[in-house]
Amino acid sequence: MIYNIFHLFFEMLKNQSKHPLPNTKSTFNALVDAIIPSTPETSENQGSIQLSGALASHTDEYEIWSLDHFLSLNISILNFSIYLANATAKMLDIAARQLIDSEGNKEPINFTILLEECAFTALASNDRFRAITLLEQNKVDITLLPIPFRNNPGFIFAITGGIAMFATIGYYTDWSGYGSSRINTPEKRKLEHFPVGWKQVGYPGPSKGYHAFRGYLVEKCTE
Amino acid sequence: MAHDADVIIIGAGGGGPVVAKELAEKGIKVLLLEAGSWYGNKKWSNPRKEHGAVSTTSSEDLHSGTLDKCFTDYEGDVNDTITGNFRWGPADRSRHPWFRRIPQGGFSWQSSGIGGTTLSYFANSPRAFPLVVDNVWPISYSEMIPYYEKVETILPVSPAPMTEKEELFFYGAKKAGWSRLMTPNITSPGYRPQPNAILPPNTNVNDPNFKFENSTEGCTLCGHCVNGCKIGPTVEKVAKRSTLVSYIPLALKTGNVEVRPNTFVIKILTEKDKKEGLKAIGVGYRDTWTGEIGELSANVVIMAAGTVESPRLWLNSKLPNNPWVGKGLTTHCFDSVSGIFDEKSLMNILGTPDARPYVGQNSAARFDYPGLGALQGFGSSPGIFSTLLYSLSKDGYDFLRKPDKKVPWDIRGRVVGNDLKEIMMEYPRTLSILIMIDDEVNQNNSIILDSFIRDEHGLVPVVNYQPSKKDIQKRDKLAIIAADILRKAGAKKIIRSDCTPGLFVHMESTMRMGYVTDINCETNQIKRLFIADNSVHYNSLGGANPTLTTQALATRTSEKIVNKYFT
Repeated sequence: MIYNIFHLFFEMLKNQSKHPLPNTKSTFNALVDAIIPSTPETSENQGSIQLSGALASHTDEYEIWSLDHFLSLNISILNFSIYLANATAKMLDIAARQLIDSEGNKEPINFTILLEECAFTALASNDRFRAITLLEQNKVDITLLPIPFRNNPGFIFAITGGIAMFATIGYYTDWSGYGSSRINTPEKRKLEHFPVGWKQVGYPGPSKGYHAFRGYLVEKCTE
Repeated sequence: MAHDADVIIIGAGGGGPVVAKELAEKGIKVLLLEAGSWYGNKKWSNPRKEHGAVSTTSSEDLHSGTLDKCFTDYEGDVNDTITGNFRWGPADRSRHPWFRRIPQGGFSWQSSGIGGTTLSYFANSPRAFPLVVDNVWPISYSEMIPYYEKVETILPVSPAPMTEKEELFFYGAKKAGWSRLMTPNITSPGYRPQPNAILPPNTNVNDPNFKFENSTEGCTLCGHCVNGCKIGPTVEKVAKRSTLVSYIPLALKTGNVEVRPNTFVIKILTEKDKKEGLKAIGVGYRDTWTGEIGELSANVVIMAAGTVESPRLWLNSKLPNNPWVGKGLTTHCFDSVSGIFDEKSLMNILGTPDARPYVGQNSAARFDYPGLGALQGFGSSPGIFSTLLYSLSKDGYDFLRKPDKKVPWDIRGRVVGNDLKEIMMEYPRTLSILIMIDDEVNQNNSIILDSFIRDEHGLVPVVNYQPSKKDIQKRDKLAIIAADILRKAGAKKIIRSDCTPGLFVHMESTMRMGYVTDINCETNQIKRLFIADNSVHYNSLGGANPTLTTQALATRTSEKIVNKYFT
């Protein structure tokens, strides 16, 4: 038992790096581009502000940063950061390969990318969600997944849910306005520009108040 | 033996500061320990960068300028689950948050810091529904009323003001045939303003010359309740009445309370007493900046660390087995339904082309249905809005679903791609309704310890929650009612988020009265150990937001403590 725990732990450390691997970067590019794409057609009808999507706001970096700062463990008296971005990218790649092998993709695969990079990136946008859905429906062989996802459906769900949530947080909050300081810790960040996501949705930014009072439905409750 | 205090309270969130104030007014010396930092106090002027003082007993250092600096109004800076000011984690934001393992996915929206989760709460302060208290709880609803009234006066609580989004909500609810409710004791379905712990806006707030400042007295309708309100001339007059600005200043003014932030309690200390049996005698703690470990002693210890941390602390302290410690978690099993309106409909109803979800108190309108739960109008800035409403589905992506037949929503589940961008372009014309159900207590829904993963405070908590069949039915019924309210108001498109049961906002009942504690909230197995947070609730209050009930119970528990141990 103790041997197994240490064996797993060292395997996990072996895969650990706070520096995203090239495939990791391309996987998260593909993920956020699918969730919040650049939309030339919408921009034609609704104005050029609607063109850009998550890639232009570096939401992929927010995903990677969040996953790499999500979890730390304590072994004896030492704290270890667990960098999850690389393992998550590998998990998405394995799910994408399974989708392709089972001919579950509905749109053509980009074979050049498939040869050079990971399968998840080679999928068309909608098929990327089909790959994630395989994971969420327990249809991927979880013995093949990297630690800490191997044989751990709970952790898989936590992260497939997490990566969906991180995309909207990264894109539609102030994070995308921190520009060159975006990867710093919060105390060292500075808002450099008004977030594009806020412009696109018509949010005017934080205000100290509004002349918007419309009275009371009920002024006082009665016992 | 000299003690460090008469009473040690663990946690300065919704409940702990209430007990501190109530006991200290009776002359009892209280030490209030909090794991997170302190915003708005000169002794902690850079609470995210440095340790600051160890503790304080003075209300003189409360400082609105410091609060202004800490609360930036930027939704990500404040509420990001990993680095936000209000995350559950240590004061130093260059370090990781504190981990909770949630096997079904999701996250628990809880905050560390003086004020706890009331820093980010919407200040919604309804009472429990009498239906789920009378003949269900070990105490009666009528026994709770004087304590509700006392807290409602102190905070204070009053009916919330309307802006566009509330007027639209009430318009829909009325058109759908529901009644307007006038009483705080809810026994039949209907709609009403939220009873909010937020100071009412100035009567001149609509005057175009009325200038909004951080020092304005009363709510300015700025929409930043969730980002930690800082509107007010002094800390104790801040509009949203988190315990940071309500009970903490009152507690400090007694001169009998010492508050110590950055102090994570890791152990309850006990000893066997010939007369009393096993009793609490103090706590072991860890300083979250220095890592220093120490012990503090008292005559009475109160756990107010929250629905996750109180049972975790019990289990990590290896206190006696009890089959209900950590068991029976309820969460209100949130969901949400949003409606998108066209400009013309809004012009007809409101006289304006938008419903502006970012304007006004984050939740100022509600609908209660004893037996099912509650709905509440909701609006916020777009990051929190899009995440809560369009990305948290338990069942995947809308475009991959087989079309539902005969359902009142057009979209269900996660929205992505062009669809997400287009829905978010309708953000100013969207009205959202949160669903909170009267979920059942189930012993399988629980806080347990992970068998392997530890952090610096011991084995980490695992949060298990799955709704029952009945819970799902209640949620579906309320979703249909919410969709009907939106349709009747004129919504052209309706989206149901189909939220994951792993979204934990209103966690309750993991240290239930009657099972883990007696009716005075003293634990059955350890004397002099009391509980004063949401965990001691017997059930989920019927779907009513939990904070007011925790505060009323904490007021009652304080009386019981004085009577039993200090007279």
